[in-house]
Amino acid sequence: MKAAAVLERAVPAVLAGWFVASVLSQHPDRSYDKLRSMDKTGTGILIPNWRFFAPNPAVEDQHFLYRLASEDRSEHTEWREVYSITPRKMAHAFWFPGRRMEKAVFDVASTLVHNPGAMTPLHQEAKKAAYRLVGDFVRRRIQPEPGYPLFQVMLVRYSGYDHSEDPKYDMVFDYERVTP
Amino acid sequence: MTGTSFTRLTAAGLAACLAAGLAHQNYATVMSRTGHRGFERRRVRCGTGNIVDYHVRRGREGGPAVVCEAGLMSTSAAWLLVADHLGPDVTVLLYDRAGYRGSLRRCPEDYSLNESVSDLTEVLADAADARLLGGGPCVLAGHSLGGYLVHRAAAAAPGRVHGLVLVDPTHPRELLHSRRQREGSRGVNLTMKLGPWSSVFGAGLLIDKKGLFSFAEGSPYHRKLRLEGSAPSTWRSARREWDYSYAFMLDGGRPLDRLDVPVSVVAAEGTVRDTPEHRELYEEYLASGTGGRITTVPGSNHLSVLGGTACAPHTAEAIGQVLADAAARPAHGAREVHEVREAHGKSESEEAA
Repeated sequence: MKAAAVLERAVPAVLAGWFVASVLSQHPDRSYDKLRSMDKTGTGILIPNWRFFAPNPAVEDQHFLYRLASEDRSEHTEWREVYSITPRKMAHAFWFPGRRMEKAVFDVASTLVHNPGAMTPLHQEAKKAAYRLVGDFVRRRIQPEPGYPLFQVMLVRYSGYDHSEDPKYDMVFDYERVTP
Repeated sequence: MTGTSFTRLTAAGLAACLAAGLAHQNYATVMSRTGHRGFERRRVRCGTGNIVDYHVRRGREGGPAVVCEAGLMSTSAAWLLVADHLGPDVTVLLYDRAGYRGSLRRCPEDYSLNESVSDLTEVLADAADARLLGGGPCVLAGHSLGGYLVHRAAAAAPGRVHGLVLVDPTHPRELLHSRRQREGSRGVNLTMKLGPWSSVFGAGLLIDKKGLFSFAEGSPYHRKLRLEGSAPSTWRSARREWDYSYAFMLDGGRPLDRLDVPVSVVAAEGTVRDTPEHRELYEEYLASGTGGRITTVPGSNHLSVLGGTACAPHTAEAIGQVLADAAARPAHGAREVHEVREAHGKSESEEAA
C-alpha cells in the first residue's frame, strides 16, 4: 500500500522532470545542449530534440552569386545572380519540373555548409566534388567581360518572399578561371 | 498518476527553471560590471557618444605601457591572466569596448569597426592626458578581432603608439583566404543570431561552459569568464560586432594600413596547425610594420593563448619583449601627443570607481 502511494507520487515527478528536461533541450544551437549531454547513451534518444528527424529543416532558398575579378584580384564587378528563383504559384504544388534545378542547388549547398567540422575522407571527397560542380554550374552561366579572367562565387540564403529581410552570407568560394 | 499532478509538476518545474535562469542572468550581469582587483577604473565619454570604461594598473613612472584590446565576445577580463605575468614596472590598460561590461553604447548610428577604433584612440588620448601611461613607450596588444582593431587604431593615432602585439589576430581577408575558416564561421553565425535573446531568458545556464571554458581551467579568472558568457550585454555586443565584421570579411575587408612601428604576432599553435594558410596572413601583418616577429605559443589554441595558465606566461613574455624593444628604440622619447580627439568633439573623463 505504502509502495503504491510512493509510486503514485514518484512517477508523475519523474515524468514531469523528463518532460522539462526535454523542453529545455530544444534550443536550435547545439551549444545549449548541456542537459542532452547527460544522456550517456550517445544517441540523444533519452532527451529528444526537434532535430531528431530533420536536423536542418529547409526554410530559405539558396542562391549562388558571382563576381568577376581581374588577374591580380584587385578589381571586382558587383555581385550578380547566377539564376533567379522562380516565384511560386499554386500550380507548383502539383507540377513544377523547374524545381529540379533549385533542388539540386539546395542539395549541393547542403553538402558544403552542413557538418563543417566533418573531416572524414568521404566528407572531404563529397565537398571537393560539390565545389567542382558549383564551379562548373556557375561558369556556364556567367557573362564574361574583358579584363576579368577570374570569377568568385558566394552562397547566400534568402527567404525569397520577405524583401525586408537581408540575405545571409554563407560562404565565399576560391577564385576560379572563367575559361579553364 | 493523475493528469493534474503531472501538469502542475511540469508547470512548476518550468517556472523554477525560468526563475533560476533569470537569477543567473542577473547575477552574471551584476558580476560582469565589477572592477578588476588591482586596477583603477576610469570612464571616458567618446565623440561617438559611447561611454567607455577602462582599467589601469600603474607601473613604474617612465616605464612602458601596454593597452590591451579583447576579441569578439571577450572583455577586459580576458587579459587579466596575461597582465598578472607582466612585470610590475609595466603599466597595463585594459579596455572594454562599448556594450561590454560597464561600457555603454550610446552611438546613434549603426555599428561599424571604425566606431571601435575611434573609441580606442580616445581612450588612449584620455589615459595619456591623465598621465596614466607611465611616460614610456606605449604598445597596443589585441587578441582576435581586437588585434585587427588595434592595428587600425595604430594607424589612426600616429606618434602615440610604439609597437603592436597581435595575439592570434583576425585578418580582414581570412574568410576569403581560408575555406576552413569560412565553413567554421557558419556555426558562429547561428550562435550569434540566437545568443542575445537566449541569454535574456537565462539560457546561459544551459550552455556547456565546462567544455567551452576548459581552456581557462585552473585560472583565477575562470569563474569571471564563465559568468560573462551568461551576461546579455556580452551577447548583444558580440552580435552587433559579428554582424558587421562577418559581412566585412566575406567581402574581403580592406587592405591593411601601413604603420611606422613594428608589428609582432603571437600565434596560437592550434591555429597555425589547423589552418596553415593563416601563417601567410600573419606574415602580411608583420610586413605592414617596420619590423617585429612571429612567436608561436606551444600547446595553445585561439582562446588558451590568452586565458590558459600554461600559455599566458608565453604570451606575456612575447609582449614583454616587444615592450623592451620599444624602450630600446630612441624614437619614443620624442613622440608627440596628437590630439586625435579633436576630430570627435568633446571628450571628458571621470573617475568611475
